Amino acid sequence: MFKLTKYEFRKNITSIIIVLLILFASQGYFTISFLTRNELHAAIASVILVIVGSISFIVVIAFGISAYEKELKSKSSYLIFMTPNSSLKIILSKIFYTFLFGVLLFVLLFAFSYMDVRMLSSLSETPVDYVELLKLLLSSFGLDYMSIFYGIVAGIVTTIISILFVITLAYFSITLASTWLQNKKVKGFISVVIFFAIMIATEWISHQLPTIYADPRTTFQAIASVLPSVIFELVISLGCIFGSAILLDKKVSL
Amino acid sequence: MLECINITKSYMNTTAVDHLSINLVPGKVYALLGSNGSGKSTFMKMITGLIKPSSGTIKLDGNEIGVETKKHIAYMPTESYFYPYMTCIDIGKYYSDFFEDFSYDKYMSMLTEMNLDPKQKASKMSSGMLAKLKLAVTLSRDSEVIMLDEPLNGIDIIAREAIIHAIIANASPDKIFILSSHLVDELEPIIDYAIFIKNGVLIDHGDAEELRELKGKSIVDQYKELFAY
Repeated sequence: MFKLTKYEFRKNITSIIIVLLILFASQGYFTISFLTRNELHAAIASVILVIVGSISFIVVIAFGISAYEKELKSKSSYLIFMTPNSSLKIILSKIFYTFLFGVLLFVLLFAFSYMDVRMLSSLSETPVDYVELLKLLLSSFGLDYMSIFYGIVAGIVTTIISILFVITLAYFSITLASTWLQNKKVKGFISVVIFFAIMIATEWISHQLPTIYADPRTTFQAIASVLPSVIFELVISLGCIFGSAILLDKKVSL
Repeated sequence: MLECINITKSYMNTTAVDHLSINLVPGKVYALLGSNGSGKSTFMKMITGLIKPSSGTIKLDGNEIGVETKKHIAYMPTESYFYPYMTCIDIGKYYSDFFEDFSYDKYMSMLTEMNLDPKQKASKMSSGMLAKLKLAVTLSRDSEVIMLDEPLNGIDIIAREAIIHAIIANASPDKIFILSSHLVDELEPIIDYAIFIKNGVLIDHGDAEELRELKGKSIVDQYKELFAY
């Protein structure tokens, strides 16, 4: 699977470089503005960084989905589907590529944020202890360090599962449309219709699931209250992965 | 042995391959002969696993077409199927990564023989160069089944000779070689077995020599007779 993932990166290297260049340019703009003490440009640059950083994650998901869609409709699909790799492996390699690209962006943005905070703290004459500042802020909300830590971990896990859900559902919709409509141009539109139909149905079912805490008061209660819908999304995601693999193995003609 | 048992491929309004049954054995060069759109490519893609039959079964040495059989089937499609970034070297590395039977050295020497620059991108090649590249990468696999779909299409006479020479050099007693073409006169000298397909239906097949003796005609003339109308 790692070899397949390697080729996913190689195939999409131009898009990856463009995303990274935009991020580095935004960070460069902020750094230069800060070093030249240009407050207006530093403010604009920080807004751009936040926007670009947020959009880049959406772009990663979009790239992950479009890479699969392109694969199924282009003749280059022969190159990958002729190899002795199962459809499941091929799908997982694409998901893994999207995940790694997302992690790469996350690490980069985290490094940029750390760097920017360090630069900003250098402005202060007395050194700022950000950990103490955070503790003070949390205690004013009646929160402690560990609950915030668990909250962040839970937030990251649920976000990853939600992203996985969107990607795998898109894969399944594209595969299903390809099964029925093969080379018809309308299959792109139909796959979007299938995607939203399943998405709405899943959301509806998710809301019917039993509520563990109607009014969560602690971080643990908040985590527990979203657990049923997160597990449901995970089950649907796994179903979409295996469903797509079975359709590719048995039905889809390239 | 490659067994095709009653395979059919239907699309919405058309039947590309219609109840085709045939067994192919190693040591022979098979020619799939038929006009454009007769179902030759669909048949080959079903053997490769790229197209799924609507009904029927294809087996290689008793195994149904799947991950395991893909290890032993080398297929050259008519279309350009390489990623846009790929140079000849990239293509060789890709095949090395995924096919155990691929010989990188053989591939490089075939590129040299065919006057192809290893650093050139496939997407920038002329149709003749691309045909030679596809042939080089496919024949560099030591597979049990080798299928070349229209290997002579759009190729000048000099390149055709090089391609036919490469096919002859790579045919061996342990390989099933399948060629498809409507340029029958070019293939006639090198084929052992002819398979005539018309509108997806297997209309005739047999040992090339026996067919010539039985019908008193060359394969080219039989082709003309079958496909003239």
